Amino acid sequence: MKLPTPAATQPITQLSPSVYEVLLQCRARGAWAAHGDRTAIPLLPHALLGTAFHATVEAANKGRLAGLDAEAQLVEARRTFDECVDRIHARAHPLLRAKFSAAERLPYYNLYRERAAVEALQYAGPETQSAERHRSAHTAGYSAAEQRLVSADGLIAGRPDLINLAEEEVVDYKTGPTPEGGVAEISAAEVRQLKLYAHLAQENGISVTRGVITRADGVRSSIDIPPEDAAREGRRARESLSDYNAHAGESFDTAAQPSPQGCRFCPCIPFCEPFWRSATPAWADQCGVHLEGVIRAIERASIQGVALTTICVAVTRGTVAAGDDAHVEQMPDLWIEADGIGPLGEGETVRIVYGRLASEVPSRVFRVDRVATSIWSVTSTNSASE
Amino acid sequence: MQDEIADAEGVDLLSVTTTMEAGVDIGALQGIGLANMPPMRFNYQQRVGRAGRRGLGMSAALTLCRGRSHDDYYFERPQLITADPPPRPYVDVRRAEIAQRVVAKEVLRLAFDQILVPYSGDNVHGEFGAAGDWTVAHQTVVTQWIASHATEIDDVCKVVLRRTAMESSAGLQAMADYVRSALIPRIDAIATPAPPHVALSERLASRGVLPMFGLPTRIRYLFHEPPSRRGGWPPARGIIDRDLEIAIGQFAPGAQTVKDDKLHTAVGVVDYWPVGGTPRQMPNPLGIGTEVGVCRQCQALVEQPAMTGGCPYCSAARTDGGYRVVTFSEPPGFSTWFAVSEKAEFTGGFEFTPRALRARIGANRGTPSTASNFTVDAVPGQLVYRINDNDGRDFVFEKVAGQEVWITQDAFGQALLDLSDNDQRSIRPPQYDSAAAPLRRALAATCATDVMTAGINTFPIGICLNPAVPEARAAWYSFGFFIRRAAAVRLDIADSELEVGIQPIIDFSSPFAPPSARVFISDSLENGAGYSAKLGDLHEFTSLLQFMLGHSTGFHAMRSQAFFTPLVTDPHERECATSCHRCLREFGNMAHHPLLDWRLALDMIRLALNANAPIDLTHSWWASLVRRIAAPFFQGLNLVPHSVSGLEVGINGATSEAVILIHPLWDRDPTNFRPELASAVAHLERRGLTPLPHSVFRAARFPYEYKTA
Repeated sequence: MKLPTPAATQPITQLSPSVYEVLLQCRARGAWAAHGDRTAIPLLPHALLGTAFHATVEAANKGRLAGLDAEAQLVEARRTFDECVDRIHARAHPLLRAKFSAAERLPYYNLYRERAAVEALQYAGPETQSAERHRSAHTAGYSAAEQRLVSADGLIAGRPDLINLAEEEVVDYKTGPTPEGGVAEISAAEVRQLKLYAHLAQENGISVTRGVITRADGVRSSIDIPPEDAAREGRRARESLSDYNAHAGESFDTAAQPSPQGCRFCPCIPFCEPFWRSATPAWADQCGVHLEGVIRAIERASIQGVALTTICVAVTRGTVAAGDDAHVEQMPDLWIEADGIGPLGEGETVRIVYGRLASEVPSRVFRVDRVATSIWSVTSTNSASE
Repeated sequence: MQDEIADAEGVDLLSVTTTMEAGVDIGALQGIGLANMPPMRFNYQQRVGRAGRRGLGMSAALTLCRGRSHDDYYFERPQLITADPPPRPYVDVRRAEIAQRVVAKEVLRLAFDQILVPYSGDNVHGEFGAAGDWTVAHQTVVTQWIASHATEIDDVCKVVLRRTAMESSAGLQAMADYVRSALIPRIDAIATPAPPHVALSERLASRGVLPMFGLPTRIRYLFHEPPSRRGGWPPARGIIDRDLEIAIGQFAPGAQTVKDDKLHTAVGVVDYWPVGGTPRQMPNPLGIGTEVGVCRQCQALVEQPAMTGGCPYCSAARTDGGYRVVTFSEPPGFSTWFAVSEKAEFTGGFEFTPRALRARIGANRGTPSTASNFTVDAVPGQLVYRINDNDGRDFVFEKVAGQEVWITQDAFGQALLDLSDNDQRSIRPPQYDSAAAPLRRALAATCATDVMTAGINTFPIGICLNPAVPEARAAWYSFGFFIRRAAAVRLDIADSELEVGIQPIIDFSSPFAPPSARVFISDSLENGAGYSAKLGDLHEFTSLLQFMLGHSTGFHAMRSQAFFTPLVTDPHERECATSCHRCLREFGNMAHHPLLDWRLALDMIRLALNANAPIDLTHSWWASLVRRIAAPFFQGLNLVPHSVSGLEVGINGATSEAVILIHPLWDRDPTNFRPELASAVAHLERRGLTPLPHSVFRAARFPYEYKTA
């Protein structure tokens, strides 16, 4: 596949909590989150299903399930989920579609679907309540779901999953289950997000004094948010935005601030030249296995009717040690050529993002997995940006 | 009869062996008593046919059915053994490899005519000298003969191919080409690694280059006395014989065998061979050794394993309990430590025999064909492996000084334990040859034979057919043994004529997706008897699947119903929660009994015929099982029963665990939950419970546990 070319950073006029969070790590990542072409990089299945989860719960909050009996509510919630996933899958990066020919083949599909449906039931309203009454209840100020809130100065905007006016709490759904060990702690990033939502609510005249995280398995965790904490978070967000905009126009590479923590789960890894310049094997634990190298030999095979390519690469950079050759085994050609770009050739420089180290002795062998791995051909465009 | 002895004339009861079934006329016999169920219909008819002759208007036959699967099967279906019409006989004239063997035999006979091969006893496979003489003495002559006798070769091909599917100019040309270009390399490949003293023709017959005339034999001896010239060959005493497949377990170092109140502990391997009438130890009994990869998780056998990495099928790590590369040998013979064997008395107990792994095959493929939702393939001459790797530890052999015997020190130590202290002191411990490095080997029995494989093409989301998962492995084996049982009934052969195994397959288009599998069925006889090739035919296999579900029409309709209906109706359906001798169990698959499950076998057949077949607990034979076992299972574990999303759930209030009873083929991996299971999990999580999917398969077998390792 051909690497996308990142554009120079552009000013951000309005900051969302998610962009705020990545800006704290890296300006380039923030720029990609705000303005990047999301279809240029394959989504992780988890992210796709998470979007559908939120859409399903939002639909329930907006009264789409009202007036139905419990079984019909579940059916309707599942339908909403299916429609959303199908829609995103149809537009998804061709690699994702090559890996998962149908949306329901995505890992965790049924579990996310059912968790979304069960979560949606909590907000569907009583069986006897009509959609009209459900909407009325919202307008009466009981709750506000997925409502876009904009700060008074217009610099910050966000869409909290739910604001429970009666309880003065903002609720955010997380599609992952409770972390191992069952400790229902809220991470620092989640705390910042809740505080920023609380700040937005306050700026819109809604009193919020508590933030709640609801995990996919139904476990809820909450924190108190005093008004001054929310306001402080708002100030920090504005400072962050201001700092970013002060650098706007700089190249993507100049804006990038690679680090093991900041590059964790970063979608920009395939095309982020500073990442490749900075990454070391010590980053692998946090960031995953990524390697860049020059193809020395190619072996093509057809096994059980599937065209597969194995390459021997002289590793040059990445989170694996450079120097020795490594073999990347049995990559389906369908993945390599998912975007229509032709087969790999000897002498070509490639990047394998989110590979798996299969063995180290006597030579390093890497494999690709169906969830996250992507294979990129490094073009001259990227070389120019170095 | 007039001359009959008077004492005998008064006898009206005879106890006879099965020899009497061979058409012996005993006279006006009125009654027959059979002490067990004869192996097949024609055996039964021949035996009971001894009575009712000489114009007798009536006779009776009484058959005692013993408590074994074969007897049970026909006890439930008496019409099959008494009155079933015989299957239509067939001669396979479509397979080129059968014709190739006959052509090769005649070509070699003609070529060897000009070679003076020393007489070494009659050999039904042909007098083509010893394997060791092939390369050094005979290969050049035979090659030259083939190169200079094109007309004779063409004539042989014409005669052999007459009235076969290959009787065309292209077929004749292909056969002649096989002789000219492929025959010699095939012989080279077989002769080179063979023990040099073994008859070449026997090796070629056992590897499918020549026809197998008569019954192949792969008997191996455990020598517990030194063989001598006086004892003849094979020795009249001092040996115990077993087929190689059994010998690699029963005669493996450390394993013990009882004979005439003596306890014999095998300690190693040896290759005795008569030279000038005197048995001599031939050098290097372990041979060169062959490397293969074996996976204990998913049953894979990898014929050319990589030096590094885990199982290429299921990614199991390189560990003793996971994937490992072994070097195996097929031992020509086994030995005890003679001085120990002389003294060791059997006192009532003996050591566990390390058992060989299940039969496995490599990844060779023929020409697969697909119908409904299955792919079937027939591969002639496929190697079937049985390997004893000493539970993943291999055997470490050391050469005894001054001899050609290789033993393991562990086995020698084991053998000594059965002697008294005094006797132990009297035994001289082995001295090892310091110039010969120890060899680490597994023991194996390989067999080239016809193999058919059958796999399922697609299966619904949420279904797991990964053979590394016990329930899925059980489904594959149950499917395989069910096919074997049905094939035996349809072909009128014994179950033991066919072997069953499974082979993992990987979806290479989706790396790291769990593997699936296919079953393989091989002919028990070396070189194949043609049964597997017949079963591997698409039409035949489709018909067999229909047969197993009771859907056959025409000739097989009655047998098909008789096969299927007793399984799914009372009393079997009610009494058999897993498998029994009336459905899947028999003596030959004893090692698989805990895994076998007739319900799973039927589900696999349904899936093979229909990719959208519902695989869930609503099907009648599962629903009734769940009705019967759910309540006592939950009660026995102090779980409070509930129904969630249509599934039976038992809740442990103290631990907040919720045990969900699921279909055995439902994946317990949350990435691939069935919708019903995902729904139950989501609802239970919402109630603050920890959902634990638990298969009905386990609940029926282990009713007092719900947490699995």
